[in-house]
Amino acid sequence: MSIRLICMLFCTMMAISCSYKSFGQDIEKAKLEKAIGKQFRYPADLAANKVTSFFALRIFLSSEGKVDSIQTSRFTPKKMITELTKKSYLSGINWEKVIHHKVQVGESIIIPLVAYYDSGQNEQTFYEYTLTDIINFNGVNDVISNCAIVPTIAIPYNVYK
Amino acid sequence: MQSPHTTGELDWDGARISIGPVTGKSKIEVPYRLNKPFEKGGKGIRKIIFTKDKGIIAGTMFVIVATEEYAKFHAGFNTQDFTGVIGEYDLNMRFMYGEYYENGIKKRKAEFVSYSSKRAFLNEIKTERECQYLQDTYVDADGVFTVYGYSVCTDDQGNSTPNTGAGSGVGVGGGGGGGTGGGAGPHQDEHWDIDEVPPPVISQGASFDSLRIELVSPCLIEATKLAMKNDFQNAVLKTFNHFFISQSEVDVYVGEAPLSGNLYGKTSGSIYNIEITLNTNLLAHASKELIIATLYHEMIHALFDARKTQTNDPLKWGEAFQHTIMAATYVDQMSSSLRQIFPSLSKDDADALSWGGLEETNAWKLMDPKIANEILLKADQFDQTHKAGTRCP
Repeated sequence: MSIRLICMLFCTMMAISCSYKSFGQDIEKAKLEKAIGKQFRYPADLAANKVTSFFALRIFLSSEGKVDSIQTSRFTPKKMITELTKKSYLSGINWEKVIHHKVQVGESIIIPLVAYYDSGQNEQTFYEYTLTDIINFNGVNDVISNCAIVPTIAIPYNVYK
Repeated sequence: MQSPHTTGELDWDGARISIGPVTGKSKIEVPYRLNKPFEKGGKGIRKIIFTKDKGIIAGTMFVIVATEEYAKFHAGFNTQDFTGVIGEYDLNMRFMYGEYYENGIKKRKAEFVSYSSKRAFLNEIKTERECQYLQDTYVDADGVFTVYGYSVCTDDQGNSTPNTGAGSGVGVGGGGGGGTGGGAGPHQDEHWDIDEVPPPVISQGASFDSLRIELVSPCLIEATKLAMKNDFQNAVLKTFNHFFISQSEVDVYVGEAPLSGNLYGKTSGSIYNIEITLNTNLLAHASKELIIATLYHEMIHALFDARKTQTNDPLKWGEAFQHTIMAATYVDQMSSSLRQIFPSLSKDDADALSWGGLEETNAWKLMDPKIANEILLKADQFDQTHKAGTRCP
């Protein structure tokens, strides 16, 4: 299944309970992608096996638009969780520009992430996933509401020896 | 503004001028970068060469045409495993000379005969020669769409087809296009070297955003500290700067892990992070020379990756391609850097360590087997089962 297709399915499904937000301003999109990309250290053992990982971050915001806490979805590579749940790397993001509205109390933002081996082909294999795994945060398949989902950030990687 | 239909563009910044030391012939080479991967049907003009010899000025275009099978599985041209024709055309896109490669190895000369379709080619073949039909498309800046068909055959003895220089090809036009083929004269002394390195670009300084060492094994730490103390990072960047621009926002992490197999190290890279992993199974007790040589090799991969990310180059900068460039360009630099860190290291030993990891390249395969074996034996002396080099206490 292609990455584009799976992300589209995911976003369609999420649209039932979350509002789907396209990236409006390229500058903020680039800032968010860079902030996550810098923090995104895909484990070398997974890269060596050319594994594809599809997971999500759920970012809870305070009413001041600051990051309160970050959750990771079920199949987030374990070695990445500590780094990705640190709040500081997202401190420079203007979330209202990302979601195009005032942050509401208790609102969260879901950022789907894909890491895949850049083989030059568009086809990737997902082995363990069901789409609900992507919204399984902290081991609970919650009904997620009061959230906004942004487009998937795809991070291709390569391996050399 | 560039038309979206063009298959590439002339890279004047990458142009280089050379004068043959013996012939005195002047030559200007201008790379023509692909804008589209093979799968999009882009004809692969790779470079244009202008020569001046004894007052006569000539121009030639070098073109790559992949087989259908190769194009199916490759987005770009890889010198290590390329299968298809590398051809020489005149400036009016008339075929002059070409050679057929299989998996990066030159097999035979290409005979240029055009067909309207693959079916026409199959119906035409009457000899017992082994022929292959190649087809590619070319969309020029005006959007004119042209289809070319080629055949490449062995001769009656099963060897390469003699180059008659008299191809009678007629390009088969589609959508108003239509090249005309006409054989050209005898092949000149220009040739496409499959191992040739892309022309260098004048450096403006390669860099990493940060280099973070996360090693645990005492000897790996000690060797890395020694390297850094000797301006290792700058040495690597300087080496890389010999052939590329790169101003990158990449963070490089150097770590360690027990890796399976006989790898000394590996590098994995994504957009902003590159992880270099040294194999503790093979390096934890190896000589510092071997550890630093491995780190050097992996750092070059890291820089290639940073460059690839930065430029979004349509060519796939795969491992084999990177190794080919390393073999052709950086072995001497690396050897020299190692000797700066280890002044008592002989040049032969430093060279041998610098060849590590490049044994799959054509440059290595073309080496005299006796010399190649000597290099392997010399490099082996620095591993953890031998005693050469500087050892940790």
